[in-house]
Amino acid sequence: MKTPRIRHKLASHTGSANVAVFDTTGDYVFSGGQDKRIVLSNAGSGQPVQSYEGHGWAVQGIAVSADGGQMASCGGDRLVFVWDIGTAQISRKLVGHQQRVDCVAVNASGSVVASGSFDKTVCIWDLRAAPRTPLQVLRESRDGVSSLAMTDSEIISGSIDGCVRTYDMRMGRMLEDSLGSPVVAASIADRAGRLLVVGCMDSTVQLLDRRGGNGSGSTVVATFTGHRCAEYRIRCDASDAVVASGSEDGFVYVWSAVCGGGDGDSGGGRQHASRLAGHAGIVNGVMLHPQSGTGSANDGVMVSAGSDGNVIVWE
Amino acid sequence: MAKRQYDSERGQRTDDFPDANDRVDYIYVGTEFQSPQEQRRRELKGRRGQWDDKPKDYSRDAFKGGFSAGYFGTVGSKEGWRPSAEFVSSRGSRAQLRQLRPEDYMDAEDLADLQASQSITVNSAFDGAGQLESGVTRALDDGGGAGYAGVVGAVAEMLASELGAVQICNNRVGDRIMAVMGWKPGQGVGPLTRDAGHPAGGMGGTVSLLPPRPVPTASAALKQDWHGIGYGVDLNTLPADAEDSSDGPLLPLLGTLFKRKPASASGSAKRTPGADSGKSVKAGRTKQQQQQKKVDRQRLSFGVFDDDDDDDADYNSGGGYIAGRSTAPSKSVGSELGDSDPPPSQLARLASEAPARPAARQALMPGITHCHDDRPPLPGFTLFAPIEPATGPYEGPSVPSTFTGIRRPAASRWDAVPATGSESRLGDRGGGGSRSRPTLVTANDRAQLGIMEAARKPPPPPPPRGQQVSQAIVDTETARAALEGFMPYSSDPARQARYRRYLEQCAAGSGLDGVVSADEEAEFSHMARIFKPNTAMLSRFATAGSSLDADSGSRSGGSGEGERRGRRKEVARTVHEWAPHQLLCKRMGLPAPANAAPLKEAAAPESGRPRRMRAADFIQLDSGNMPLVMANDAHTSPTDRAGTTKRPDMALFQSIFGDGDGSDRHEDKV
Repeated sequence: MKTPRIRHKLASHTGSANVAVFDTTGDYVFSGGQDKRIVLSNAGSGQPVQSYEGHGWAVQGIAVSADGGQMASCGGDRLVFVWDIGTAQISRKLVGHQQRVDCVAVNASGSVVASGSFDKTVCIWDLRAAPRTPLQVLRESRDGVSSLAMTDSEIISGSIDGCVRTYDMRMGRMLEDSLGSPVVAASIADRAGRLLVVGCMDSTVQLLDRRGGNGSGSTVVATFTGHRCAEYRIRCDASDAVVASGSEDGFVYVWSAVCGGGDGDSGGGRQHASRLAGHAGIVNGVMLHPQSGTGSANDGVMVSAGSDGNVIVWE
Repeated sequence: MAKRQYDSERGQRTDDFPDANDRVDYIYVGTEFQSPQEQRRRELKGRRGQWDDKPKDYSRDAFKGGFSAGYFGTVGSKEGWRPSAEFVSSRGSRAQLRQLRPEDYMDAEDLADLQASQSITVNSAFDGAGQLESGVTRALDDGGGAGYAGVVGAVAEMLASELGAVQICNNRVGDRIMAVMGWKPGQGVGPLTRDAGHPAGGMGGTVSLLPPRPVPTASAALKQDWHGIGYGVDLNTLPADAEDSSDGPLLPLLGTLFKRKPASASGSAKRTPGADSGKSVKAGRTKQQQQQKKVDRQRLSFGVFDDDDDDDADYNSGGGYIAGRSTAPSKSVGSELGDSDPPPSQLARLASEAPARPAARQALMPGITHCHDDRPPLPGFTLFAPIEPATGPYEGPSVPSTFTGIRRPAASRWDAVPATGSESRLGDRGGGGSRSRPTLVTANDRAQLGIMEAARKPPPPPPPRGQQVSQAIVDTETARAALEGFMPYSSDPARQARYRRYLEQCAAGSGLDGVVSADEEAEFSHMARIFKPNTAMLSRFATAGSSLDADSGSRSGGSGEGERRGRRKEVARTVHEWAPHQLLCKRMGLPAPANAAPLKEAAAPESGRPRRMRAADFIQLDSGNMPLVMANDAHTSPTDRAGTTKRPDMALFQSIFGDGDGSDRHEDKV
């Protein structure tokens, strides 16, 4: 695994850059920051393309639909905006949360938006209608919802109460996996949708195998440590090859995800993390290229957002 | 990294906007203007209330006066008001700030009334004299109380120890104050006294310091009755030799105990108080003196009338004086004083009237003749050794051999259940009786457990080389684990080295060779127990060379996938029923599960109106239906509210309560 190096360093935001995501193709980077703006930049050239203004408070989460036409963003102003990416217009303002909205996820077809908030709810919005109220409100979480992920049939929410809840819409049930410590990041790690990468506030990144047996829960496949996540929400991402996470100490940590090294307790600990320097503040989150893990040329490409306002594209 | 430039002209950092086109010359400050539509709308709304064609704005409020400044009538002024900054404390001048009390408003009559209604009593805690009737406690305090009238000093303590009455008298404030200062009941007050003569105190010639004996207070029993002195006793019935008569109540007996021997020419040097009980001291006494003695006897004072005697001079006769307390007349008494022996009848009577004592005490060692205050014991008392607890704890009565105990096995509810034949299959042993836990463990198992229990701990290591070696408090596993964990005493490297060495020795199982002192060892063992890391936590800090992982690592290297997965940490999972909304499933393109919330039919007119209260909520035009308080939306939660409502036509309501033009367009603004 070669050490990533900085491809572009984009000084996109005044203040902290809270979130940075790739779009589906991986050619563009959306970054949202403290300055209430979302900046669309070209990942290849590093040039900013478009700026989306409209939020009344800091932008906390961005999700891009699969077709690349719509984007959902959420922020501290308790709103979820649905943008039309091309025209940079707001097509929906979804009102319903009582506290800041921390995470947002869009399904592949762009018809459903799920937003998780500090008010312990996950609101599901129907974009085909003109919604005034959420389509469904999930209130099972006992503390703020910090991260959301959406697959074809499931909504996975990670919450500060330490649980990763999988809402299975096909089966009509909710699976609640209780990890020990607050969960700040949860996303699907592999293509099969079987592994979940979860960042916890005990400074660990855990890979969970979601398909538990009958009655048994998911198993921790690997644990990655070395970074520091104890006070802030630090996002992480994983593919079939690497696991990457931000950290409060200013480095981007990258581990090899190849789990030949042993069981969950000690195997992950033996993986040495590569620490990538480049940010000046805490690294709020890392996202891997959507095509990483397939052996393509974009295999090691990542984007990271730091609290210094820089968004760094690594390769 | 490029140096941050600051464009002072524009007030922006240049490297945020490297492209000069992006820098703007203006920033938005303040609230933005409303759109012209809104401005017009507001204007229209304002004009709606125009009733006449006068151009001026017509206010419907009925205010006809002018405005006044808000500060009229207050402290403030046009410039404002600021409080004075200084705070002046009245702490020092409280004496001057004397508050008026009710008494200041009362005249002499009122004051007299007030005082008449008040009564002053003595606080019982401070009332020392009122405690006389508290019996033993009083006797214990001062060594002489009316409860045992005339009993003083050491005798009181003996009595108290016999009666087992060890009470701390805290009824009086003075006692409590003294107790705080270190006094104990039964002590005297004063500097510690030497006790050279007491064999129990000190060995050899060492001197022991004892608190002083309490000073016996001479107190008299309060007279509880209204009789005169001598009431009930007919002086004429007293025998002529009045000194040894013991007729009547206790009073004469006391008199005989403590009466001084009157001055006699022969025995003036050897006076003992009470020695003349039962003796007739006729010599030297006139009849009148005897009569006077009789009278004196009634009075409850002792020794007061024999002024010619010197108390101290009498205390030179040792031995026990048994006056009226034993059957054997004391030879020494008679011989010393030269008096005739008391008549046996008197002694017998005294003996019979005295309270029965338990078994005789052992006398002290013969060398001891005096009490602790170097005075001979009072007449009528002997020195004795305190009772030693004889042979250890009391073992209780002997249990007869036929006794088997009173416990009956509790009737179990399963006793009545008939046997179904499955007991053998299930390993049920014997019918009936309550099952207790030990019966579930067979004897074999129990023996096995015992063996395993004994085998768990390694035998303690033999002390090497005959040195005095202390057993390690920390066992080997803990020590080994603690060596991996956090090392305390980071500020004291020598101590940390000692700690580490101690742990290594404990882990190795060898005896400690005194590298640490005993108290340090205790502290180190405590530290080891605290800082011994859990394996769960250890996994976070596991390094490649961690020895605790050596076992699991070696196992995982060659094991298969299944075994590896079996040892992975499982996350607790609970499964809950969750009903996704049908519309959600439809949007996601999934078949709805069985428990999906049903799709709500349109209620299309409401879709544009969220939770605003409407007249339909309150008015019941349909007889049968209950109004709903909250609006029923197409997108509410799947849990159905009770019942549905048939709403009347919206147009009907709009015509009645009409909002006029376009007020619902406000909802478009979010």
